[in-house]
Amino acid sequence: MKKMIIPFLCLGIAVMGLSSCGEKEKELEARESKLGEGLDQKRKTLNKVVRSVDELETEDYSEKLVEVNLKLDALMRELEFEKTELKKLSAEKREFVKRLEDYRKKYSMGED
Amino acid sequence: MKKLTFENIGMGGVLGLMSFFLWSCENADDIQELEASIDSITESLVDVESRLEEEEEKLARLKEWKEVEERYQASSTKFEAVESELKLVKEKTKELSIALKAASLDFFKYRNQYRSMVRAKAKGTLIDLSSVKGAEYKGVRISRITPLELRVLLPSGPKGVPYALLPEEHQHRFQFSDEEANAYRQAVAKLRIARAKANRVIDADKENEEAITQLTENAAAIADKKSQIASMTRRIKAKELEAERLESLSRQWQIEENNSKRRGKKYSANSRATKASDEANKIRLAILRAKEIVLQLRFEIGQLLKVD
Repeated sequence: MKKMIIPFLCLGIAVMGLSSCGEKEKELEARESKLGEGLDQKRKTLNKVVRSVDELETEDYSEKLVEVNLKLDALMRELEFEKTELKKLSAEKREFVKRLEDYRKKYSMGED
Repeated sequence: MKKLTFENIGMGGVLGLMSFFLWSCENADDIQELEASIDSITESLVDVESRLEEEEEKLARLKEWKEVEERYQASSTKFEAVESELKLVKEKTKELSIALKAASLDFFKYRNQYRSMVRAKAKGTLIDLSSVKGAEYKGVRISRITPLELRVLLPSGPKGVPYALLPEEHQHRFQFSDEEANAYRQAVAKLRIARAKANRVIDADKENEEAITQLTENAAAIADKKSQIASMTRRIKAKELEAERLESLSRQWQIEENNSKRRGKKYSANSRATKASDEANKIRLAILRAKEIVLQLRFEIGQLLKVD
């Protein structure tokens, strides 16, 4: 009877070991599946980002932007200046026209 | 028999144990495979995450560049619009300058026509010059009126009375003025020089007529040149402000560049500082040219007003 204790004990240990192995396997499978899903998700995101990068074909325009803004600023000032000049010239012309009208009224040549 | 049974059971137990161990060994292989697979997935994940990080950085930079590009495109479009508007305004200014020149010429022409007419009409009529400084002429006949004097016929012979000595009433009636007198002197002097060169003889009336035509043109030319000087002076001031602004920007960018270099940072303000400085230099050169033009115009006005 005593001789049977050892094999049965071994059997029990093996059963326990097996059951723990099964649990670990399940756990690992779940982890693998989760990681696989995570990897797939990351790959999808990566592909999406790569596509976006490919779509965004551009170059660095910083220097060009500074240059064009510099010129634009100067041009706008010039435009403002020219508009003011135009107004001044227009006023000057009106003044001459008025001077002529006043002079004509004051010193008419026709009726004398 | 009893012993045999116990032994058989023991053997069976050992065999069962061995088969269990074999089975569990197979399970251990699966676990190893799973662990290897997890390791491989984890490696891939790390690799993908690192690539993703790189690509996201690239995307963020590209997005920033795209934004800058959009701003550049918008600025370029605005630049083109402002450029075409400026072109239109400049064309209008040019047209208006011509119209202004014509308006001033109309005024001076009319004034001289009126003066010529009123002076021609007065020729041969009698006039009372009782209030002339230092002399008294009553009922004297006018023989000729020039922008400088009123010539009358006295019993002693013809006499020219300078317009400045005439009573105010007559100065006003015949439209005498210092401006006209100076221009007339200048025109007559020029005509005489030209005549002497061409060896031409011309009578006084013809000379008067030619000088008056000349002074009308001169008056319009002087008015035009004065207007040009005023406009160019305003332009010079505006351009000086623009050059100062660019020089200040250039200095500021140069300081930024130097500070970045000191901190060991990569910063590209140097090229824009150079560009701003170059633009400022171009403007300074244009200002110098404009100042030369103003000097030339002033010299020309001086020549037109010069009395020999």
